[in-house]
Formats: sequence, C-alpha cells, structure tokens
Amino acid sequence: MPAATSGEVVAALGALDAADLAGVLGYAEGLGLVAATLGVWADPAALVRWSVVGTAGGAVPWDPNEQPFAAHLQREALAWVVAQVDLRAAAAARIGGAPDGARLSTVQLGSLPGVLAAARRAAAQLAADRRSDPAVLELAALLLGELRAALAVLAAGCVTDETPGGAPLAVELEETAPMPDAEGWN
Amino acid sequence: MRKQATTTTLNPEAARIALIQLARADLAGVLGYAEGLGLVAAALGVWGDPATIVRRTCLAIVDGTTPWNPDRMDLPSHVRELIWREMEQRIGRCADAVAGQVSRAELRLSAVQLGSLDGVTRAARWTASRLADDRRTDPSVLELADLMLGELHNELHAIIRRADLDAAPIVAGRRDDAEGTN
Repeated sequence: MPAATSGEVVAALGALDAADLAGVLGYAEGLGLVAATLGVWADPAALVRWSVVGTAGGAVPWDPNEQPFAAHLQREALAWVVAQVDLRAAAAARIGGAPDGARLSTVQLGSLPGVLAAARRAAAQLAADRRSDPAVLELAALLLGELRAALAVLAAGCVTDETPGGAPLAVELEETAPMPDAEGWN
Repeated sequence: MRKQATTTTLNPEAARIALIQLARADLAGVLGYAEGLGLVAAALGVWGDPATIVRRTCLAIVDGTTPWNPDRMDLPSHVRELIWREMEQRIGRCADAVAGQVSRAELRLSAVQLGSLDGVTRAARWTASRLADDRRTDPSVLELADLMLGELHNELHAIIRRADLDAAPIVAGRRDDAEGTN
C-alpha cells in the first residue's frame, strides 16, 4: 500500500469532524478495555494520535482511494492491539502451548481469536456510542485542534515527506508513541 | 435479583425442561457470555471467574434459591440475564464506592475509559453476546461445559428421581405394611 502524502493527511484531517474522531476514539476505547484485561494497556487518545502522526509521516501506509481516513485510523488501532496481544500470546506460548491456545487472563475461558473478535464487536459498539458522548466529543475536539496544528507544520513544508528519520516529527513520534515497539509499524 | 423467602428445589417438570434446555453447547454459550462480560468488567476493576459465576447461578436455580419460570424464558437466557444483572450490580457498587461527588456520567473506572459508564456496560453486553456465539464451538469451553453439566445433570436427575419415587405406588404399599406391623 502506498504511503499518503502529508498534504493528503492534512486534507483528510480537515474533512474529519469531532463526531468522526469521537467514533475513532470510541473504537480504540472498546479495543483497549478488552485488551487491558489481557495485560495490554493502551491510552486510546495516544493510540489515535500516534496513528495520525504516523500516517502523516509516512510510517503508517494509507491509500486515500481505498479507505476513508476514520476507517484507516480504526484499522491501525486494531492492528496495534492485535500485534501487542500476539506478542503476549507468543511469550506465553514459550512457557507452553500454541499462541492461539494461550490464556492471557483468568477471565479468558476460550481461544484468543474469539476474544479478539469479541473485542472488535465492543469497539464497533463504542464507536457508535461515543459519537454522541459529550466527554468524548470534547476530547475529540481538543485532539483534532492539536493534530491540525501539528500537521500544519508538515503542510507548510517545514518538514517534508522526504525528511529522514531524525527529523523533529520523527523525534516527536518516538516520544509520544504509546508502544515501545514503534518500529513494528514500518 | 428477587429471592424466595424459603428455599424449595426446582419442581420436577421444570427440572425435566432444564435437562433438555441445558445442553452442552448451550452451557458453553452461557460460559462465553459470562466471559465476555468479565473481560470488559475486569478492565473496570470488577474481577470475577466466569465459570464460578455460571456454576453458582445454575445451582441457585436448581436448589430453588433463585426462581425460574420455564414459561417465561428458556434456561440459558434466564441464566444469562441473572449473570448480567449480577455484573451490572457489581459494577454499580464499584462505581458508588469511588463516585464521591462525581456524577455517574462523568465517572471513570479505568484509564482506558473515555466516555460514560453506561456506554461501557452496553459494549460489555455486545461483547458477551458475540463471545456466547463463539464459545458454543470452542473446544476448551465445551470441555468446561461438560464438567459443569455432569454436576448439574446429577442434581436435576435427583429432583426427578425423588418426584418419581414419591409418585410410585410402591410407596403407598410400604406405608400399608408399616401400619400393619403396628
């Protein structure tokens, strides 16, 4: 999948309203709630912020012609949670058993893919619910303002798409990334 | 949850219906439902072992502590409803304990929770419904259901056997004999 230009991401973010971003936050929240019980902690807002900045910086591929921006952000949130759960399952499998058969919580009775499918259901439900939740709408509006300001730097050409990894945006990305293995996104 | 003042076991007719309705896959589905609720509730700080909760709920119905009317709802749905109510009450108690001056809409029980608690509990039910379907065919949950069914079927068969013995003519004959010896 080709990486979107920063201009395309800025345009996509400009077209996004607070309810759309609240839905994405709700989706990450739903995933995060189930993942937390499995030992994977993720701040939904940081996860969404990381996905936006990562997409703008080219680290996270996105084809605007194939997927709307909000759906892309949800997919990235899911990919991150699944990757982290898989890591924990692989670690558990080293002790014994197959990763799919791993139990990452005393609450988990059956297979991990079943739990992840249920987490997606919770995420979809909360994505719809949070579009009208006042607190999440407020958070979304704040995040939207912050991200638009940050990405305006890219659009102004201060940091170009060709900027190497050591550029200020990349440094900021590493500092604010919610996960230690950010290179897994590349 | 409404409880009877006195405990009477499930009536034999209801026990027969329960034996039919509580098949292996159905109980695995109930376990999956409890697991789904538990996965979300645990993130809010409310931990519970799904298998223990399901077993306790089923046994409470069998021993008559919790009433069940087969005409109103099938047994697996009734057990799910009871588990949901219990989980909702436990989350509610947890919320009351930490609420202080904060309204329920503003209350956050987890760093992951962004919006209202009611939204999270609705999501928990969706998660539970999804996992209930999934676990009907999950080998390890079916195995757990088998273990649990053994105990539940024993209890239900015992209720039916006692009723059959009470209704059998030989009981009357014994009484006659006993009276004759006195």
